[in-house]
Amino acid sequence: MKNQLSISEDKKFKAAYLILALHTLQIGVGIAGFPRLVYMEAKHDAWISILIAGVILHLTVACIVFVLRSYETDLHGILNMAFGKVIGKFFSTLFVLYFAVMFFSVLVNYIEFVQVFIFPKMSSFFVAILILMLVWYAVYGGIRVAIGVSFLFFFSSVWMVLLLSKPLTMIEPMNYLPIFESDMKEIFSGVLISSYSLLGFELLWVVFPFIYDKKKVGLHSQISMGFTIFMVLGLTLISIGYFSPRQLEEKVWPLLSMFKIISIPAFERFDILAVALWLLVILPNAILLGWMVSYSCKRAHGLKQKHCLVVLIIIALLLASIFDDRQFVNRFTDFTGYLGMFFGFGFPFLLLPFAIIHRMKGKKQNDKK
Amino acid sequence: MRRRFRRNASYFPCKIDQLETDLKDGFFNSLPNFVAKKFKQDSQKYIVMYISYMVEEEQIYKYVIDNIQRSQKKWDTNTLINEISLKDGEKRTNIKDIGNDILQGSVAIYIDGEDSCVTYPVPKLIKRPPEKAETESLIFGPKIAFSESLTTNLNIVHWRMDNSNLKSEKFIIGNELPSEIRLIYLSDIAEPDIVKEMRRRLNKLETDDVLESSVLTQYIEDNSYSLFPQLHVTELPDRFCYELKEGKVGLLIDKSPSGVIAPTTFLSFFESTEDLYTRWNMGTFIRLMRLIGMFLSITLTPFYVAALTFHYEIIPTALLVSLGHSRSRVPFPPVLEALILEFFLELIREAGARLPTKVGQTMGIVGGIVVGQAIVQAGFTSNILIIIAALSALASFTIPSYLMSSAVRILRFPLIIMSGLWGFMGLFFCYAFLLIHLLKQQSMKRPYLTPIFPFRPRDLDNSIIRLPFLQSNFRAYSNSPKDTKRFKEPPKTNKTDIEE
Repeated sequence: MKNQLSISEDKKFKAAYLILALHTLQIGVGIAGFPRLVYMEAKHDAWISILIAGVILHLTVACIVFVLRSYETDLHGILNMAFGKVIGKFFSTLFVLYFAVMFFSVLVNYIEFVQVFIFPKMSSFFVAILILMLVWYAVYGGIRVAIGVSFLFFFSSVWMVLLLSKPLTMIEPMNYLPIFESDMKEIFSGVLISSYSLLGFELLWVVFPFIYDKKKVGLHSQISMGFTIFMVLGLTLISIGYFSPRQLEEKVWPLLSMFKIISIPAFERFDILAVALWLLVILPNAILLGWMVSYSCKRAHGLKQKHCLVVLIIIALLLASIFDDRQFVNRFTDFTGYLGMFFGFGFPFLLLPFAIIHRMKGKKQNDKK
Repeated sequence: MRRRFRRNASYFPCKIDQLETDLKDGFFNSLPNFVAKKFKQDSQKYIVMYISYMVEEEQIYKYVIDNIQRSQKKWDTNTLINEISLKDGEKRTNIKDIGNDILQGSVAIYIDGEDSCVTYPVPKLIKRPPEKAETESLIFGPKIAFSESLTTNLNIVHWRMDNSNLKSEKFIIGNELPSEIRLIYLSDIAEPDIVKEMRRRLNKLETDDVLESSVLTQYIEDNSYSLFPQLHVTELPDRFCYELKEGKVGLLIDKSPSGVIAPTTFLSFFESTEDLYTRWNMGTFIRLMRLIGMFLSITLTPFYVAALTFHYEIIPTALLVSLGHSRSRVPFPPVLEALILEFFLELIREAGARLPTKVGQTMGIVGGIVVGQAIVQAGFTSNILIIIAALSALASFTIPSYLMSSAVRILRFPLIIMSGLWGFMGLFFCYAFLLIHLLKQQSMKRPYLTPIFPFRPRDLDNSIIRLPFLQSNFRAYSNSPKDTKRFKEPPKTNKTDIEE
């Protein structure tokens, strides 16, 4: 495996696209149920948890960018250089598996979402086939198409946020008071829950060599993280203000319940459309993750990307059609979260000392010259 | 048979009778219209040969035969070339060349005993003069359209763009029926890569016959399996010249009444030059209306089908009553109802296009009003669906490009079927598929969806909206023109306070 990648100029894209690519990868099905989950842990001080999680997120991403910039290559090159061939490959494989788990988690969560809201009788196998066909078709176009998907689909679904202006006018300010009522432990478990939902920035690890202006990666990824935190925080604040405390604990998907009250003259129930439209929200997730898995697999093991993709899709199809009960989906999502704590948030800091040593070496060599 | 005429330098000099039989029986297979006239002047014998319907016979008599007969001197090949006042005379020593020249409308003159034959092109051209544009007619702006003759079309283009940088390269394509193709571009603006790519594709192309410009585009486009056109075929010289000026390259094909423009983007099929001729705010409004029309055209009917089949919760109560009332007599499920009606509309459109204009109009009235009314009364479809289907048909006809408008209309059918099968899920699946497809699409190796993705904010002017001309002095960045500015920026006027 080569440590440095040489990618032709016409396959690269500008760092500014990262803002939307990272953001769309972070926002998925989870966001619809997210306010309730944080609320269950940290009550009406949930926003503090989110802010703390946000700070951690910004630090982690800064750390990732620092590591990437010191090695000037992608994750697999770094692992290879830092740990040597054998251990490096082992870690690369772990990451491939981790990305694959994230991919499955996106898939099963959306299938459950569709089954609960619009088509209770639709088989999981069928919904999975619909999504996986699109993933297959898009990933075949390479990273540019995957980035394009995140860009276009963001704009075709983000307008739904504007619909929240109606619940916004119905907020009860007393719901936020008193501040600082939850204790540290509750807030901390809120932080933990929120960090699960913020996973997805791992895209940076893989996509870095494809970026045209690498100097701006730091800036744009931080903007992206800020934007995600802003969305998540806003949504949670509106949910806490709009629902009464008991209500919020009962609503599994508070976001959809808020869409329910919106009715335009030609549209009585907006939430039905929203669930179908959510396909456009999760597709960038699935496509970017599908690309990450297959490309990482190619990088780590020198296999053909097509073959990796086909294998991933077949496994996903089997998994989605075999395990389709709510219990399993919940446990699988939690499992993904735990993995994310280590691979997403922990691992960059593990690599940090290696990166610093690498930088120092590079400096010394420069000085010698 | 033809082997006899292989390059054979020792064919001439020969007897004129020999030449005549060789050409007539050998090359032309006893073509009845092959004319060979033998004359004698003093001691010289000479022969004049042509195909009667391919040449201006009057010119031959006036310039060739009269000339030779009246003068008293002795003629030979050199004097034939120099003293006959027709243009482009050629000396031919090969009998196959002579035959080809005659086939293309030349007259061949041979004086007995000379060592070469002289041919003069005097072709008779029966061609349509350029007329008013029919398929892409404009209300406002130049009316002229390309005609079938390449010379006329080149003439129009050069007359519209009298610029010394206008380059035109000649290609001959077609093994069986060769046609001339001209690659035209402005060498100081068009990007060399695009020109090179087009040249490469034309050189690579192997076919028996090009047939028409829209056929040529299907030979050289990037993805033959897509529904969407990837090169623009236009019959409007003003559009052709405008796009060249923006840094694209154009193709003109002999025997075809339309030019080809490359590269294109998805949005460029929704532009009309008329948007430029009207004022900028009107142009913007009309362009946006077309885009919205396209969206409605592929959304309305599938949405109706999806809502009525699976999601009636979303229909407001007031509307549900009237919908239910008008649908109460319809025996079909919504998908079938919609498919029947859409198919019916397509039939009317196709019948109107095939019939002569006058009958076609009557056809439209009969089909649209009489049968439409009867269909509702017979309980085949609901009133509301008729409104929706008519609206989406109308919307699709606003697209200026015929190919794109057909693509949008055909696109409706899979969308209707999918929403009939899986409701909104099917509908959004189709949308997602469409967007991904458009993202993957390329035209001359350039992204098809610019300026939306890759996002080029400056190019939004002149693709989705239109700015006042003084403010849009940049050529579209997506064509990467050599010269990026249309003109120097106008001097900024000092902003003054309200006039007193």
